[in-house]
Amino acid sequence: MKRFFYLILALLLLGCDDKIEDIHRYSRVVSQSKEYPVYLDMSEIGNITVTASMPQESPFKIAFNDNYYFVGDMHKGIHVYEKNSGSVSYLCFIECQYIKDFDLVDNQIFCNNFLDMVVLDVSNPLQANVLHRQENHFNRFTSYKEYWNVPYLEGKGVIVGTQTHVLTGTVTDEKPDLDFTEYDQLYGNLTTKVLPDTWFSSRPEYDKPYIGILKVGTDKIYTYGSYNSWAICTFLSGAFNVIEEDLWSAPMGKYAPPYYYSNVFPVRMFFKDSIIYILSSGYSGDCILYNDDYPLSYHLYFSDFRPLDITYVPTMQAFFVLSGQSVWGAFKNTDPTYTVIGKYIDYNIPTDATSIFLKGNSVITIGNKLSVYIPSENELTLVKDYPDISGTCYSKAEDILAVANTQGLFLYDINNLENINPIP
Amino acid sequence: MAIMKKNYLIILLLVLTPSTFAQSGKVVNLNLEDSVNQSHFKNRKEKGFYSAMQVSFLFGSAQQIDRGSYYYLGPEYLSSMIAPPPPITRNVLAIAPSFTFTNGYMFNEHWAAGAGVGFEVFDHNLFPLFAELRYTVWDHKISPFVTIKGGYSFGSFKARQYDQLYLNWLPYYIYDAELRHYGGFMVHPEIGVKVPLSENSDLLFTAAYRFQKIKSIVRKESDNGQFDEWEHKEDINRLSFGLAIIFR
Repeated sequence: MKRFFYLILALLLLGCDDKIEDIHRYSRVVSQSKEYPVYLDMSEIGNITVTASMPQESPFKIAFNDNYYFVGDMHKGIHVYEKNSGSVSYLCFIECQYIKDFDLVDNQIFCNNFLDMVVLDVSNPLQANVLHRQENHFNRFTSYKEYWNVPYLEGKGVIVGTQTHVLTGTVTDEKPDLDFTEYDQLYGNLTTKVLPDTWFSSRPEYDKPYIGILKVGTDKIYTYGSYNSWAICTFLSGAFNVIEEDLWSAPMGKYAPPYYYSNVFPVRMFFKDSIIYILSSGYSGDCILYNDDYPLSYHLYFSDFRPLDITYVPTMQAFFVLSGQSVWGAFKNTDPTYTVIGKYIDYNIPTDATSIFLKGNSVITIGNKLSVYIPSENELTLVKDYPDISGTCYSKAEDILAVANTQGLFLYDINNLENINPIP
Repeated sequence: MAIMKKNYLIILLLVLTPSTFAQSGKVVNLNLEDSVNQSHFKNRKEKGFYSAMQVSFLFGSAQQIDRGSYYYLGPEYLSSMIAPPPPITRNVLAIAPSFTFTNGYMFNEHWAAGAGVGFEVFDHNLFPLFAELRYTVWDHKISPFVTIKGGYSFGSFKARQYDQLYLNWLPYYIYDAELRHYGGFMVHPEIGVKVPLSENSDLLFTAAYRFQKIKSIVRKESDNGQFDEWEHKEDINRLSFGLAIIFR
């Protein structure tokens, strides 16, 4: 009985907990701030015009059709050269701000105008006009690669920065935030026509947006898709069309979709030797290649440098890579199903060349000079240097080599590599 | 301190005056031995005024913060919207002494009603003012009884300014602020055993449950009408054991 009593007493005491409620009231004079986005007004940047001439400052790519050569000038636009019975003459300049890549389908140029994909009719470059503008086309990365995008708000545009506005007033526990309605009306639609300088470095290809434009086949333009995919664009019968193609797309495309590696972003994309090359940058120098053995792809890794240009020598089953200081060879594994490079060789050729390509059995580099080499597995044998030929980009059509530099566009006859002559 | 003394004096006067009146000049014989030996008293007053004095202890579990784990965060927490980290709290056995005095009227040998005042020491002092209704089974011998008390307990009657204030509730510590304790509604159902001591007096052993609402407010004011105010409300539940003596 006594035990029972103590048990009941203990239970009663334990049950005697207090119920507590605390309320905090306040009234304070505070300053609160709110950040208002500043949107990009594309009215000036998006204005594509044709001018008589413009200094060629930073040529990065050459494309051509039957009548014209088009030389891309980084962030500026496209210089147009007219073919005149074997030689070329400067025709005009198509201003397209923040251009980073372009390609040509017949008389249509597909290029970026900052984030937009623009299709230009250049059948008569002097009267080039915009056929289509696909807004924000190069800023649609998803999943783990959203950080590749620049800040963008649908319906409002690119967010280039913010303005902070401070409001001072009294807040209470019932109304803890100040009323920014008036500021919202004043600063809710801030715009600027200028992109911040901090978005751009001395090496524009490493800056956002990450642009890759490549003509594949007769009428398809390959660009980076939203995630591990191609965004394949066409402009046919006045209609612009984009198809996303990833590893699971059916039917499979000819070229394996790019794989978006972690902590890496794409720098440059080009098509050479029937291979799509994607140069990328990240924690280590890195290059990813795709060929037509779908979905097979070769991955080249360089820990000490970022590759500038690559060419493939089929007879040697080897890639030749410019590092900016030397030429490297990357030899495929003897087992063709094994896609990891079997052997890397530094040929220790001092060179600052930025372009490399194959002509016959010779490897040619272009930088501050043009050099012709005969490659072997163990060494690159210099055949001849041409100090008078220099350029930052080139295009090759049979025996005609076009090289662009700040002086203009120059054509060379490369039929005989031991005697390369300019075409007047 | 002066306020406390004044309160004590008021309570003392309240206790002494009706006690003197209730005894009506009769001699009170607190002969416990007699009451045990005798099963009942003859000629007890069945109607009329009575006075009761009661001492109780209220037991329960109360929350307390561990001061050792708490460190002073500085005044910036008072002017910012950031809440300080919660300190470590623990439940401890709380014992609150209670002194009450009741005057009332016995309608017959079973039913009585009255009103009382008291002094109780919880986290802060409370001054209950209550009414009671009492039912006693047998008047002339040892008997169980039931009482229900209900009323309002008063806290401090005005706010007091503190240079530094340590609290068991938010904001735990504050400087240069004023604190006021408000009381609240109380209910005190009670059971017990009444032991007649004499013709005029009974000894009561009581057990009760106590429900008490309390409220405290800390307020810190600054310029331009700015203020911070923390309101702390508690519903206190206690078990009470006490001893009382009734004079009739």
